[in-house]
Order: sequence, then C-alpha cells, then structure tokens
Amino acid sequence: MDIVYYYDDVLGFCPVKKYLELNDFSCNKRLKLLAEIDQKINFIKENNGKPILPIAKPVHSYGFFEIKTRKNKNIVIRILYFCYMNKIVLLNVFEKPDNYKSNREKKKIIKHYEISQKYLNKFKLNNYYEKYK
Amino acid sequence: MKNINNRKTQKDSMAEARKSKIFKKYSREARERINLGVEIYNARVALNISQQELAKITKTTQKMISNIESANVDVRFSTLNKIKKALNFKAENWARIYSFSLEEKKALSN
Repeated sequence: MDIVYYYDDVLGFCPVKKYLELNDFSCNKRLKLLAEIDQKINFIKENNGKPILPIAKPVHSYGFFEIKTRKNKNIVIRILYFCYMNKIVLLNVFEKPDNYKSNREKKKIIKHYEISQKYLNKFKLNNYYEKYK
Repeated sequence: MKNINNRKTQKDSMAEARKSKIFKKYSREARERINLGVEIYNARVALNISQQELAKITKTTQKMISNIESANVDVRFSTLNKIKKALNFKAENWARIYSFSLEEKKALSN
C-alpha cells in the first residue's frame, strides 16, 4: 500500500504536506512531532489502512478516518485519511482544541470535515496526488 | 492515477526530516509509545475496563490514560507500573511493545 498526499489543484498544494512544514516549532520539537506522525501513519499502513484504535478511528458520518497526535497540552492535531485503490490518501489536517464549548468552534470543526469530504470526492475524480516520502 | 510529482512541488518537510539522525531516534521512541498504547488499549478492552475506571485504579486522570493509549505522552515509570499491575501485563505484552521474540526475552532473563 502506498501513502500519498491529496493534491488540491485549486489551492495549488497538498494540505497535509503544507501543514507538516510546522513553521511555528523549533527544529527539535518539529522533528519529534514529525517522527510521531510518521510512525502513526506507518502503523496504519502496516494494518492495510484500517483505523486501528486507539491510534486512528472512523469519523462518524464521513467516509474517512482520523489519526490523532497531540501538538501541545491543549491542542490535538487530526490528520484525515481514506483508502482508495491500494493507496492511503492523506486528505486534510486540522487542529482541535481539547475544551471547546462555543458553537463557533463546533462549526469550524464541522467545516473542516466537510472540506475533507469534498477533497475525498475530488480525489476519486481527478486522482491528483504527491508521494509521501 | 495521476502522480503530479513532476510538477514544481512544495517543501517536503517529512523527507527532509528523515535525513536527520535524531529523527530516527525519535521514530524509535514514537513506535514504542504506539506499541505500548495499543497494548494497554487491547488489555483494557479485554478486561472490560473503561478509561475512567483504569484512571481511578492507577490514581491518574482519564485524560492521561487517553493520552497514553494514543501514544501522545511519555508515560512516567511509576504510572506505567500501576497500569501494568492493573492490566496484569505478562512477558508477551512486553515482547510486543519492544518488538522482540519471547526467545530473546528468555535469553535476556537468563
């Protein structure tokens, strides 16, 4: 199974690849976080893309799964992926605060999921991707 | 399938990180945390214990148990000791976490 980044032709970049630049981190912290994300993605690959709990889980009402990684004390990074034609496609990523209560925050999260669903549908049509190296 | 790798691509942070020696060290540590998290999760589910209950037994919080299972934190030795007791961890569990065979485990204990 190959791992690929979904490429958005409108944005002109891969959302997950762009996020992984992690510009707001020091070199060491960035490497540590990248290593953790990489190992989780590889763990999923070793399990043929299945969302193995507690590392990954299906997202209710959507056709993709999510991998969770903690960014800091209060924020979790959620990487959304799905499997298609023997590929693990890294669709999108967003940050979710631990304690969110406002409707605005909830709407923001739903918006991320909806955009990711659009990416998924688009990928099935145009198959644009970049290799995960 | 259209691989667009020939197009002028953006910075590849993951590929760059792989060149670093410390990245390899962090990767090993992350893999052990993942194996530990999965092992704790499986043992807890097999015993039909909730995260809340395990937290109570081990005198920690549900959030901490969730973080350990999701491989998001470096667990303290004392906490790990309490968890392994509560979940009745055996040599097989440790063999899966550290990816060595039971034969190797026996050799180590001799």
